[in-house]
Amino acid sequence: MTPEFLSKAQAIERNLSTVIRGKAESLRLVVISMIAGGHTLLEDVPGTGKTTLAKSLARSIDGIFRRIQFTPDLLPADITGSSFYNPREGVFEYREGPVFANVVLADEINRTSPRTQSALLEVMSENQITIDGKRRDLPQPFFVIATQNPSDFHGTYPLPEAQLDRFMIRVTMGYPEPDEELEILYSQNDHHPFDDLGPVASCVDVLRLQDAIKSVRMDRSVAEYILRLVQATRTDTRLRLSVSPRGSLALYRTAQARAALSGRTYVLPEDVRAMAAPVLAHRILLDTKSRYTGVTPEHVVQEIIHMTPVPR
Amino acid sequence: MTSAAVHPHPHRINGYFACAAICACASLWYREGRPSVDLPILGSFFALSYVIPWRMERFRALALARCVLFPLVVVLYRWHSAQEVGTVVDPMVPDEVAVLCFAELTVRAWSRNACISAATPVMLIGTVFVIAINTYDDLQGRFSTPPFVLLLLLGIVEHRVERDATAARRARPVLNLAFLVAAFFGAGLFLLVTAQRDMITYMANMALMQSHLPTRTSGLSDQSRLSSMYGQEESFDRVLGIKTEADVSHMRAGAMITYTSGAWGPGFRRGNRKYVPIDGSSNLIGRSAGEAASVITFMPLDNMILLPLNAASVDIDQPTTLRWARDSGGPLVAEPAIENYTFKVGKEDAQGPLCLPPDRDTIQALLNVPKSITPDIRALASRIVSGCNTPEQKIRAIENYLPANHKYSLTIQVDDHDPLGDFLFSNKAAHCEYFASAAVMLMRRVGIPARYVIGYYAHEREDGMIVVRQRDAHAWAEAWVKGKGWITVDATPGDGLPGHQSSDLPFWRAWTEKFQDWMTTVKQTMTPDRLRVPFLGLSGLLALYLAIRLSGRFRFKTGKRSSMTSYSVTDVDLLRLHARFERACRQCGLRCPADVPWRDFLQNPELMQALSPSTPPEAAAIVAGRKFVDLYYEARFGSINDRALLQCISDLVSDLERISRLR
Repeated sequence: MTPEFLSKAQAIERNLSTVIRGKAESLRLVVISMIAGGHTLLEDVPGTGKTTLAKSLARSIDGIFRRIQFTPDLLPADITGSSFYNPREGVFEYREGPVFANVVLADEINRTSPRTQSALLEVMSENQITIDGKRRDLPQPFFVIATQNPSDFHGTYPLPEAQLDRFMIRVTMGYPEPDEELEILYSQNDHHPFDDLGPVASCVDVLRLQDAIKSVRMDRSVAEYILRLVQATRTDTRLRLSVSPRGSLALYRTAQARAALSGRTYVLPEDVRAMAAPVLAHRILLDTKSRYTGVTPEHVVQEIIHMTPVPR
Repeated sequence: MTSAAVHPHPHRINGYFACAAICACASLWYREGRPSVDLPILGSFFALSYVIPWRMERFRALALARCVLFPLVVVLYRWHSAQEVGTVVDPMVPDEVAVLCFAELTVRAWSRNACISAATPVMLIGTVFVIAINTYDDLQGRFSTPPFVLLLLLGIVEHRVERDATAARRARPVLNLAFLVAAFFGAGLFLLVTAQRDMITYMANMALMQSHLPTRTSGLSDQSRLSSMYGQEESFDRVLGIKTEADVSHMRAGAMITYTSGAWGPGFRRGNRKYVPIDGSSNLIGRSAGEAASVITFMPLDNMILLPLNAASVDIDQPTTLRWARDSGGPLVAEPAIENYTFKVGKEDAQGPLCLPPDRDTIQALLNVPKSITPDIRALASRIVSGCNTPEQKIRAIENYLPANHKYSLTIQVDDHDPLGDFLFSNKAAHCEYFASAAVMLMRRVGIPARYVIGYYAHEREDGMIVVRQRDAHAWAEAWVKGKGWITVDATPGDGLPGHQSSDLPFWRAWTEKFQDWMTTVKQTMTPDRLRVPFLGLSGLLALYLAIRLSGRFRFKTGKRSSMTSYSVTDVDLLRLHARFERACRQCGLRCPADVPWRDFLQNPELMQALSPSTPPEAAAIVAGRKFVDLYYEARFGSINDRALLQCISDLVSDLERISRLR
């Protein structure tokens, strides 16, 4: 890993932390998700800075930022864009939807119908759109930050399991600590710190970072550790749905990204342990009995980590 | 589950290298002129390499094994030929390098690590160099070539196949460099060595071998001493091929006149003899009578031209300078050495240009019987020739007496004072040198000028060509009869003549010789001048290939995909160090649960609290343990094959063990 890499990635991280106070862990997870080439699901109550985070990220990498506010009446065409008839020219013209951006904030994604959700998720996995039989490539890098309110809120359509699986990482922001909240209050006294934010990297840098982490060394024993963790979810009787190979891949990639961000050229078991909960928790489904006994997916993942021997 | 579970079984042989090692072994065994000792030695080395406890895996053990085993192999291999004095470019040197190549291949066959050892580049450079020198020029070298070529090819294969391994990837720049150096230096050295071969040999022999200059004519010794054994080793190497229909049997190298205490002289070396240059107008070259015979030399015999006594003329195509020691009808020396020449054979008793009549002084020398020979010889001589009147009759009588009354034997007990007297009166069994010497002395005793001749006895006729081999080396006598000239007197019994005494040729001899002939053709076609273009072309291709490879590396640097995330095998050393570390920690009361990484465990604040400052050994163990874990992770998961790092880790483990003992 070159020092150049580190400095770029850390600059992005630092830049974000000037706007989002006291959430270093979440910020790091978002950056990891971006340089691992995945998408992030931010799950939290409104007003905890999800939108600001997405906007800051877009600005930090000097990319195009678009926001889609998901509502129950939103249609797939509102996301992908559609063809309009231009009466003057007499032709159909394609007008790009909001997904043609580097950073897309899909706000409150669980407020829209599954049909529209899946339109976005398809775009996320394909990185391209086919409209009127014509293929259109999305700008690169393409990074979706979806936010959702906790699923037991009113008026929500929970994301289907298959679609949750497409997000590489699920991040929970949480309320800030009182000290930090005080700092937030004062820092926004004159103006929003977001206005001072400037780009510290370019989109090309991000693409390079995405490529560079692939050369982080993953020892065979660590890779096998990943598999043991994933395997454990498949044999756990409390789970209705276990981690898919896509989940293993995501864990592999994010562990590499985390190692690179820590300035290492090799993955440690710690990286895998640190990434296991954010990467695996939203991919597993508890059966009804466990759910009512108060067990959460995060708990299960932690238990699995504690049951699995670490490579030494 | 421990990390040993990810460590696959080490005893798996690498098929490529095993096959190559076996091929190398076979080719060394097949090589001519060697007894079959090679096969057991090399075979046992191959077997031994399996049971060696280090199993040739770790770098240090590998280096150690090479330091110990390779010299051992060479010593064992040389054991049975210890008496031979080597020269710098003697045929044994490529052999030994080939044996080393074989050993390297064997070691590689058992080694499971993809890591390319430091020995490989050196081996490769040496290999290309030796191939370059020997393939076209040295008879013996050709048989040692297969191991070199195999090692070279496998180097390339290894270069390709193991590209996933981190260690191999690290070693690749070195290997690339080695290829480059080998290609260019190999070509350059080849050209240089072929051009200056004689000079290099001479200088190196002077520098390294001091005065002990061996002669390459193993059958013809320079200073002909009557020894207990004739011929060190029965060698089937071809010396000459004579294409002729005429009857040619005694190919003489030269004659010797003086006999002092068991040795004939003077030797053929310059300084001992007066050599006279021969110009084109001399009567040695240019007379033409008799039947033509053309000779191919297979092996350089000190630049000597061998001719029968009745040769009428010599004809040489190549530019060369001929010198002649005319006092004894030879030797005839060509400088530089020639590969073939033509001569004409006269009638059986014809007197060729070699048969110069001796002058008065020479006749005196030719009649001299030294006092060291027992006086009984006088009586014996007169008894043998009693009743003979003419010199011819006397000569025939002596020639018949010796085979009738003495036996032929290759090995005898030698009386140092008077080997000839011993042979004539008590032992009565010896080899051709004794028969020839005895015949000379008996003839001199009865007043016939005679001299001692060494050369080859040509008898093996095949496909219109007489093949003369090393084992055909022979000695006989020549007598001067006034009015008739020089006569060949061969008093050796018929069963003692070369060809009768020696065993039959091995069956594979024919193939070997075909191959040799083919190589000779190749050698004649591929002169250094003609080779220059393909050689440089090859070097250019290699350079191109390397450039492409290196550009691949360059691409990696600019951020393209690389194969760094590879699977490689963990070093056994490292795992052992970790086991020691865990044991030491256990003794200090630190027990890390299986699900927690050591680093997390040691940095757990609760642990620090549990250990109050009153327990310094544990605190010290934690500090040392943290350092260990940091370095160990770097080596273990980063797969950094850094000797210094390993040393640091092992030092830390020693520290920990000391701390644990304090407790």
